[in-house]
Amino acid sequence: MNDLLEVRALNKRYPVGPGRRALHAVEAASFTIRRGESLGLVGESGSGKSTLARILARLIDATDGSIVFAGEELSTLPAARVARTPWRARIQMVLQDPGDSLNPRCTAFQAIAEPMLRLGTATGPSSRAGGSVAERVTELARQVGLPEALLGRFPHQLSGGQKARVGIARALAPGPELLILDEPTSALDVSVQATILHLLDRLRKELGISYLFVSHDLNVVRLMCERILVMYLGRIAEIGPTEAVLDAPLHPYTQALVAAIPGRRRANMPHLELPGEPMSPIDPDPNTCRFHGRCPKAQALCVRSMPLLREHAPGHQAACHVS
Amino acid sequence: MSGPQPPLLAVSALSVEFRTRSGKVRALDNVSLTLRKGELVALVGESGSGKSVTAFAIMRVLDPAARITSGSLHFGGMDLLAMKDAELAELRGRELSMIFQNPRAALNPIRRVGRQIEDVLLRHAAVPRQALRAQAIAALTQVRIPDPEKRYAAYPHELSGGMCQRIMIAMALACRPALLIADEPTTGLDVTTQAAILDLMRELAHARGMAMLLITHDLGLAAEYCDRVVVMHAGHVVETAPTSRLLSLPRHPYSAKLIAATPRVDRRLDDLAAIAGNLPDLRRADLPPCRFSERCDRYTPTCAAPLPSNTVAAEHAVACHHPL
Repeated sequence: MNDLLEVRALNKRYPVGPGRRALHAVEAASFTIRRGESLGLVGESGSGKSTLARILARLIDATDGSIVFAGEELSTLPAARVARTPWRARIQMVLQDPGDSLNPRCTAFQAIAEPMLRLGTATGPSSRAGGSVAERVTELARQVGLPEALLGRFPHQLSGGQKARVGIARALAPGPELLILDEPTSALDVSVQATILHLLDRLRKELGISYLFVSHDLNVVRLMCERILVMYLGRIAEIGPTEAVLDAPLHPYTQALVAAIPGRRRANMPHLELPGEPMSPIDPDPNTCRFHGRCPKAQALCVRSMPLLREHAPGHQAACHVS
Repeated sequence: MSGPQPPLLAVSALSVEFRTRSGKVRALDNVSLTLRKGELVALVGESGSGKSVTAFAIMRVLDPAARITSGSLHFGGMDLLAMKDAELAELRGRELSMIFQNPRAALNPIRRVGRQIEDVLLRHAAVPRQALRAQAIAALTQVRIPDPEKRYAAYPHELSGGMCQRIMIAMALACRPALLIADEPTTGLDVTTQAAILDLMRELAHARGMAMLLITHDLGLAAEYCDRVVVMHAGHVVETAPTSRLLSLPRHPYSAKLIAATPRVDRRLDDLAAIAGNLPDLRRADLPPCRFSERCDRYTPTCAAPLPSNTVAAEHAVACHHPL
């Protein structure tokens, strides 16, 4: 068993308005994350990637479906109770903009120490030093390249890159096995982004943890991830090894996404413009492909039967009748 | 007329200061750039480099705390710094248009989008009232808004971010300006939407002979859409070059490092190099002549001399004592 996380038939529906109407945020999601692996999660706004990330971070509950983490079923434990169990330490999240997610009234030291104090992991098995909280915070600061002298500073006294390091150290503090990174560098300039990407890559290899790397920047995902999962309107469109997905995308949506990467189009990819807007996620037709209406390759079959994920090459799956 | 045509826009040796409680911020120093008719130019830099301040200065919409301390701004032969507010108001929206980063924030939330386009036509194009609606719908059609008759009556909150940016473009282009300044027009939009919006802007610019100044932090976008690139760092223009030349033969150490830090299709993580150090504090009294010198590995004592502007090839200028 090399899988750290196995998600099966995961659904998340939000009731909307009167009656039984529902917004289908995530539908029939099934995939795995291996130990030590970095899985990229890409998709545009409204694709459900944030919802999926929050379900896996156990911040919200799925409507149904199964989440097996390290061999144990996790979906039966309500999100509200996860915070009081050891699970909270095993799955951690790095939030998008550290400027917004760090408490402005806490110093960097307090921000990093707090999750350990709350979860009681400061002296647990995950702490190699096994010493005091202060020693562990210092060790974490060293790991993420935050100068010790800055630990006493408040967020507003830190640069964007330094705040990002605090956010990462804080998530690593309880010793997680899975780190969910929600657009970890989108608030940073490219000059700083490069250092943070190097840091994240090094930490994953050193600590042997797994990443779910959520990003809209395919060039960044390509650098950071071994496999990529592409979502469109709540459903998995394609999943596979990074190079296969980006160099030979199977799903027409992935093809359009890859073709839209600046610099890519100039080189060799034909330009695919997607007409129209995504369909409504509220009670969509269960038998129509979600990409129908924008898909340049749609056929009659696409409105009669929902395409399911099919394996096209080892480990490379796409949900499309045409590909 | 004889001789070379004067540029459409000429920013010459522009310096801008902001007065703040903690001192004077020297946001722009000796910034020069030109745009010809119909040319697409990218203004590239990281946050704090002075891209937006340059745009606001050109539009003459700088914050009251800002002061233009020296330099000149000429647009279509007119001296923008000598113009009165009323004259500027006539110019903006008609000859000189700008679109902003967050289209939803720039649109009036309680006015139908069609009416907002009509407001521009009414103010600047003297369109007769009975023709307004037809022209507004034509403007919506031009930016390829599906079902323009219906969308005419929509409020901004009923439209997606991409649609709102199309409305902004329709408004900005309604009076056929000679220059469009686009300040990060696709930040926050999805990649496929970003590509569609920029394709549209490029196509309309070409069709109308309109010049565009695209302000972006994304070198990849600049490379994809613009003829020339102007690189800014800490309030200086450090390098100006035709796009393909800048990407293949950058001469300023900062441009080279910026290119090396940008994730690209053909680059591995090991090749990605961060840029050491931070922007200098622009309030400092002892700012060195080269504001990159403290981060630069080619620094020598010569760099303390006033910054040169070396023309290294046709249309390729670099402000560095030790170019690559």
